[in-house]
Amino acid sequence: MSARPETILSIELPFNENLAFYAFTFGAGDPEVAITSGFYGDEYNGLYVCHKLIGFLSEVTEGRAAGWRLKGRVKIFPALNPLGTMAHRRYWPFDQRDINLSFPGVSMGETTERIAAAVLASLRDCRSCIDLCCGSRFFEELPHIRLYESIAMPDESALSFNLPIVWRRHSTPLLTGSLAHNLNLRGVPTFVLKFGGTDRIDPLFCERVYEGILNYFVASGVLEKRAGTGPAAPAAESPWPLPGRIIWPKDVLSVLSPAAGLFVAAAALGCRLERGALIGHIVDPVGGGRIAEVSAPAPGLLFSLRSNPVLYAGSLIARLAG
Amino acid sequence: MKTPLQEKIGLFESSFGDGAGKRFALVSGIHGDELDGLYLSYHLARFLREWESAGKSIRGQVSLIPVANPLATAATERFWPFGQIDVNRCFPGTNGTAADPPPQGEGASHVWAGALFEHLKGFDLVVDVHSSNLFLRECPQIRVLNRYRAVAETYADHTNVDVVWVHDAPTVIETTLSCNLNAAGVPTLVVEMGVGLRIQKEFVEIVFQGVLSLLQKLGILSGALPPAPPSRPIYATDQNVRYLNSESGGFFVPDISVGFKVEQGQRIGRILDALSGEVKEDVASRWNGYLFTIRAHPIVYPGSLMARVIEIA
Repeated sequence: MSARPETILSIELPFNENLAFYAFTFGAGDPEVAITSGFYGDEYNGLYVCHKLIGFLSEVTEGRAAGWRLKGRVKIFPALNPLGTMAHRRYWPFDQRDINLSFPGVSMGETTERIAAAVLASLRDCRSCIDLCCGSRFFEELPHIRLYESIAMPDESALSFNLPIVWRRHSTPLLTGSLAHNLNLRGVPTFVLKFGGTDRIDPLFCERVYEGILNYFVASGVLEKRAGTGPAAPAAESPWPLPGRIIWPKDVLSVLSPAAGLFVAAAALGCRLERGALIGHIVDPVGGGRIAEVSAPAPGLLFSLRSNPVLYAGSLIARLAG
Repeated sequence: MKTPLQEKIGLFESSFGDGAGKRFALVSGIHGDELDGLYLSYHLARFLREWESAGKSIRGQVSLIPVANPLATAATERFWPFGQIDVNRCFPGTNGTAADPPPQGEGASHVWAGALFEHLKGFDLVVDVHSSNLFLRECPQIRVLNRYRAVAETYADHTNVDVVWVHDAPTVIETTLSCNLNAAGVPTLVVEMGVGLRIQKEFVEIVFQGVLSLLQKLGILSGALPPAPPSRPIYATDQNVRYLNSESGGFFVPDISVGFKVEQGQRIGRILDALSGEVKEDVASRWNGYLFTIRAHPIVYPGSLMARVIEIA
């Protein structure tokens, strides 16, 4: 493999071990695009997409992928919470801190702050960043991109991923510690790609995201595809209409649970729902009855759906792009 | 709040007083692993009950909400257990309707936070009691955001603590209970003391005397109680707080507790190596000052916070 593995940080563990954080760089030209993944130790889709990208970019740089040439650089950070991945913990296992809320970090600070500082330092030359994430552990997500509203970004760049939705969303006080927010502040547009759920691999979604990233690489001049060259992977029928849509906070309908109970879904992710269409039922697991029917308050594309069935009143059940 | 199994989790409150005066609330346990507030609430409830049965008046209202995150306390967890969500990052919370969706996360913890916030809006003074976390031991102290410094200055001399930390804060603090209550015009003090999952009796006793003195200042308790001597706390600010971080990983054995004057060069503990029997690092204060935070958790990584000192020239 022609990737240049680089240790961006080595942490001395309390009992004489070292934990290394790796990045892999392909190519030597400009611009540089970064891929980050694995801030959460219970997310595997990003690892799988990194695996596919590293495999393909190795072929390209070794001249084994006819018709493809790497013009710029791709820097990949596949697993940014290695201890969490090993221990199956979402956050940094020692103190349960969220690495992706520890930015910009402190190079001599607590471990999560050191990780954040090392990642940010390692991204100093990148021109854009793609952060691979799943939904939270309660949701599965139709592959989509999240961008902060405030970032000026040509729509074509975001749409070149060939994903159905680009959500320009509000930032929140909590998210000011995220990598995306901090890179955006430094003028580096960051595409947060959400797809699938935690604790599993969603192969179809991973395939779409992988192809979408290659398409973005071509569109942004990092990767060159000679005319007549086929796609990196066999083209399949897109499962959603393209081009995708840019949506704003006003276009996102949150469906909240009216009651506590157990959620049983009736609709599937990616469905276009009419107003009043059934999304699922809330049932009483101990009493045996149905508590409520959950339906679409307005027409829209079902792009986030509850995967964890346990509901309290006010729990988020679904998001629709209206 | 109804649970998915159709049982109820309650936000329980114990109230004392005749309602004809100022309203004071004590909240603790927003982080379920912080337990000093339980013991403090016990002492206050006991004191107020005896006060009432002795026929003495409680003018106004004293409300105790000792277990503000009951599911977490029951599960020995810090955060809202369903999703590991920090409830003190969920304020002002939501009302659980589609018009007011949670800014992020699953939703229930924001609804819970919204209910607590709404409930506390009518009070004249709120004290939010915290017990640090599993990692650091704190001497009893008041914490307040710089922009609400006036709230601390009004009440701090009546809290019996040694330290008031007036701090600037990152944006996430906007989502805490205290920040939102202060912003809504409800004076709120955060009290920190001790360490997570333990009760530090002598610290609780200090804060208990402080709360009695606050109740006197508010005019809720009067008469037979001897006037509390004003405390004269040290003000910690971003200019005089010094941080001591470890240089090596290992396990830490402290020499002293917290809430003392220290001198430059004074050792406060050591980081040791279990395998070789060697001392990896002597942890010593680099300043003359007041040690108000010390590492409680033995396991340290390079860069772990070991102590905080208020430098005193």
